[in-house]
Amino acid sequence: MASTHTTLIPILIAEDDEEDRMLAKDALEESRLANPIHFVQDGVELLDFLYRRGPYRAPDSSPRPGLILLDINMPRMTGLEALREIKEDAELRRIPVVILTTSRADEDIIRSYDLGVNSFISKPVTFEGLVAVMRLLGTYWFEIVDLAPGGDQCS
Amino acid sequence: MKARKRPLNADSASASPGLQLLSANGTAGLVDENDERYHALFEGSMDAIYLSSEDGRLLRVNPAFRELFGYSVEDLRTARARDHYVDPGDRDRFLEAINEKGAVRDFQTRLRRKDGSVRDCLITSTARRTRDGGLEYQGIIRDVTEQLQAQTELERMTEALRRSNAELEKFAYVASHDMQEPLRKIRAFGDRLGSMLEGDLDDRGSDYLRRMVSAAERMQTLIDRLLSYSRVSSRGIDLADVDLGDVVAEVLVDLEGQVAATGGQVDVGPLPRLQADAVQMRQLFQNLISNALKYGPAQGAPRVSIQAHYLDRQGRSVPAGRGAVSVRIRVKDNGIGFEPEYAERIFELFQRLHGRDRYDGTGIGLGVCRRIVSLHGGSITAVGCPGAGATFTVALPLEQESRRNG
Repeated sequence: MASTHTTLIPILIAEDDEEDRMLAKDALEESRLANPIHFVQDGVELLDFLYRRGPYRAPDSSPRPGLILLDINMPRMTGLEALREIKEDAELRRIPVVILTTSRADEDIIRSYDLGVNSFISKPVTFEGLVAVMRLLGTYWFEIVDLAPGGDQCS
Repeated sequence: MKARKRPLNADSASASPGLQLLSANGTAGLVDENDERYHALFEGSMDAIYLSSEDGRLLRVNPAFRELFGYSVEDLRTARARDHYVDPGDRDRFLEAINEKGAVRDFQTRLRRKDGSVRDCLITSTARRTRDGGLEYQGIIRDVTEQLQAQTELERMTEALRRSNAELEKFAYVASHDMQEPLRKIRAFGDRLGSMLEGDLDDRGSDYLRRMVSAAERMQTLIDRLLSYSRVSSRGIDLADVDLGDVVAEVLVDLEGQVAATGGQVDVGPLPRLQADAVQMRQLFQNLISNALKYGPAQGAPRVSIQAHYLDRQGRSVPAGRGAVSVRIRVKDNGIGFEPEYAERIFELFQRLHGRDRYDGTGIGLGVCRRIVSLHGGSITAVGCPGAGATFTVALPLEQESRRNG
């Protein structure tokens, strides 16, 4: 079942906090996930990236991700607002979105699933925990699951 | 006569007629015999008393009246009742009411003093036929300005308090959330540093790092507990029929580890069903039992007993079900106890009686207990003696509708 493109599928991470981006990057490296990682800093940038608008107009600056990791609390456009747009788009909705947030509020969890999120994960407290989550996410979405084909050809 | 010497009247000519009018009302004998007493009653009254004509001329007023309005006898000669009203419309409403019913009780209006200041007053007045068929009004005016101000101030303060409480709760919730972020990072980067420098750090260096990370961990626990404390009230209570026996049984399953580790024993007597928030009841007993086990005796195993007693509406002790409206549950232990002077302080946030090196804790648990109990309209108290154990008594109403009895 494992995809032959395992190492090629990009991961897109939307996270406004610089330190959390550092930790996410470190954790992905530690988990030996070789997938290319792209970062955006809020919901607006995330949609620009996905729709290849503005600074992401050039196709090679914005490859179609195979997985989106999404923070909820972000400036300009929150993760949940961006999630709604992604899941309302006929094409973008096929990309799995995993919320990775410090929130454990029931209402955030319920809202996320209502909007069609694929998984909701509370950020682990320790770095080791974060590494473990990244490793599991990589294994699950890139080795076990069959993703919708054709992402990379999309333009 | 003494009374006649006093310039009681707005119109001195009406001094005698005033008394005669009273006589006309069938009390002539009494007035004649007890003139002095009646005058003392009129003169000495702390409330303003007046007699006015149908067209609003003041016929007689007592000293309290003159004091209330700041008028001299001269002023009153020309004064009309209408002039005293801040809202002349009130005068019309007053007349309408009194002419219709013959009397008005506690008519509230604002009256103006001579110096222009305004007083809130209650007028109680009756209309009376005079001998010649005319109409007069006699009444009492009470100045309730201070009471009204106090009442308004009280309402304003209650509202301000309610709002600031709500804001405080919101603040605690938001602050706890936002305060988690930097801590999480101290821990994460501390962990990173530790694993990167593994082997390079000497003992002191790794000890410092370990202390830093564990301090951050402690702070995080503290904030977690604070968050749960603020949640207790910000979420409100979700009432259901709760069997406290079941609740305590579940808590004991959760605390199995602690019971085993301390070699403790928990004896639970029959407990009632009552109307309460099940989650909060569980939290309450979890904290109380866990505390009893934690602060066990210096030597020997902790023993905890949980017993219920019932009270009726009059606060008399009754058997379960026999008209009981509230329950008192005692959680008694044989532990280290505490100095009686701390009986109140242990319920305050962050108050701890022991160093962290002896007993781990945040000083929030009993604060949560008190908050839960008071949300249910009950109370919680503690009695203790060093080395002789502690008893926590939780009083709860059985039905939340009869909260007043709790």
